[in-house]
Amino acid sequence: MGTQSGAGRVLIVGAGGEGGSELEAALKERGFDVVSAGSGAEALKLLDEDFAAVLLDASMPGMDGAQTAELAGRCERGRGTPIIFMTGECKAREFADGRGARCAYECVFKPHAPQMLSAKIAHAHVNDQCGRFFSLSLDMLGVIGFDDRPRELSASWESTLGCARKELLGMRLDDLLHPDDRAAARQRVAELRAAAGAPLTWENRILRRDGTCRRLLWRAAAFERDEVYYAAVRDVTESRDMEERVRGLNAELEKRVSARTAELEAANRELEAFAYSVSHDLRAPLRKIDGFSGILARRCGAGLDEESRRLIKVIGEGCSLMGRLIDDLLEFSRLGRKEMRSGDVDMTALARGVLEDLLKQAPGRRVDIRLLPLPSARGDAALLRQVLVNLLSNALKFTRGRPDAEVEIGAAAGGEAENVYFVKDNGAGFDMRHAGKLFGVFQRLHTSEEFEGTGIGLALASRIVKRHGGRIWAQGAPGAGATFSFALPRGGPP
Amino acid sequence: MTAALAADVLLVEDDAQEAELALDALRRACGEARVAVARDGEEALDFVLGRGGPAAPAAPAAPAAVLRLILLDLKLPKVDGFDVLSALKSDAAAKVIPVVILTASKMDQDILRSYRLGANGYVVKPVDFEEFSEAVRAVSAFWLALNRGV
Repeated sequence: MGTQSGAGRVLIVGAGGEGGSELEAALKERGFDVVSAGSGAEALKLLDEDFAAVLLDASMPGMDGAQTAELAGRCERGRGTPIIFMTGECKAREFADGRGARCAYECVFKPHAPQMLSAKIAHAHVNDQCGRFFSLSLDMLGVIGFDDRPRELSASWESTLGCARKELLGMRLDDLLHPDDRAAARQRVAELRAAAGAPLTWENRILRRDGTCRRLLWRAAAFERDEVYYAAVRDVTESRDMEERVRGLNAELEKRVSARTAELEAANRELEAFAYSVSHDLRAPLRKIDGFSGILARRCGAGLDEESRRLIKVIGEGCSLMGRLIDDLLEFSRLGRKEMRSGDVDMTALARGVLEDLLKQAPGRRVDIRLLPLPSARGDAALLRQVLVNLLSNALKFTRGRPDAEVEIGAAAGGEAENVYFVKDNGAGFDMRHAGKLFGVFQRLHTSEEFEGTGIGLALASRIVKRHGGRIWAQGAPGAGATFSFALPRGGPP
Repeated sequence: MTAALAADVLLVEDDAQEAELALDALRRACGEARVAVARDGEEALDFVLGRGGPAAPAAPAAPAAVLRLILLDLKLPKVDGFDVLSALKSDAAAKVIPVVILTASKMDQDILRSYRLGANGYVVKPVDFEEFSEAVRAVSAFWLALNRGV
């Protein structure tokens, strides 16, 4: 507004008489862009333009100041422009009590000191701007008397309270509040006055005409001299409702999580009991079958023919296989509950140790073993050892038929996030069509006559790798060997 | 070897057939040992600590003082194996008798708890009895060496 013309544009109306040109000159000197109008009628025409303020001689001939101001208030542009009346001291009281008071922003007495007048114009202009913000505000702004009657309310009150602003201005705030919140509101006003201008914040509810309730957030400060408080009020109904809903949903979620956790814990306890009974009760009858068939064989001793001895041997073998199956299954089910200990694991040393153990169990085996340096891993050493035991014992088992058996343990490029290890053999291999079955429990791709086993080993290895946050996969072809690879995250288990 | 263990084994086992298998294994391990069988924990404590008449149908009862080995199951009716073990190991006279746990449980916590309570051996009931026999042989060898020393 006033950027181009320094302090702003001022319209001087009817000050042609004594001191008129001095006033104009003084204001110009202070940076105002001054426009003069000789009469009220001329001024009204000029009000189509923007002015920071209008200086109006209260006692000009023809259309007098008050009349001009009233008409200015009716025209589109002039309505917001502050009007400063200039009047002689003798008429001031009369003017202030009469029509002038309705439309004047300020009244100054002649003769005026230019300094004072320009300060008043600037003040009026700022005030005018504040007024525009006041009418634009999304929040509800209000000046409310200590007597509980609103002095000024911004337009936004209308929509929030569902009631015309004019009507609101004639009511007591108490009548708008939710009955339960009235006493507290009175208490707030007392606190505001005690706080002597310091702002306070609170929340309460108001009732709209339609009976619905809105939640308001207040921030207000008292101005004791005018017996009013200034309040910025925000309708927080939706956000509070949303918070309430979020809280409700969270509570429900928490309830559901704890119910699910309890279910899981119960299931875990059941599994533990099941594992114990597998370990204990399932083995007992097996032991009896094996034990008593053994006793039978010894009792009959030499009396048994070869076929009978073979039959008893088959019973014994069946028993040992089932015993191993039970042990493996138990181990597999335990793995889910076992707490993992995480540390740095020297995979090269681990693999070397496992190979030594396995080769001790197969004396006389001729296998060309290549152990390449492996990057260290982060995880549970005992569990990772189990993975190597399973993969390496498989490699040794499935190369048994080959005179030139080869087993290679190494590392492959695995990117930045993970280390990849592999165990490669030139043994019996497998058909890639069955690759998906390899890691299932009790899944076997060979008959037990070809290669013994319970079908748990790879499932166990897979479960351990997955618990470490890694992956396991296999490649192979019948008769052309197999490569089992697993990747472990470098940072350790998640 | 046989002579060293001549008297005196107490087998604490609630399942009659399991007991029969254990007896068979005992015979194979150390010949004709005299074995008493207690069917639950209470019976075992009564027998060893002399708190009542022995009920040992499998063999003539041996005085507790000359028992050379106690084979103790953990899962027992009434008083369980752990309680029997801790009662035995806190008795001044009985605590010198070797106790070997003979159980189906492979659980780490059961094994640790047994040794903490003073067990002298822990054998998981095997499908074949080799490990069991070795444990019994080891205890017999111990007694044999002790007798020679005396």
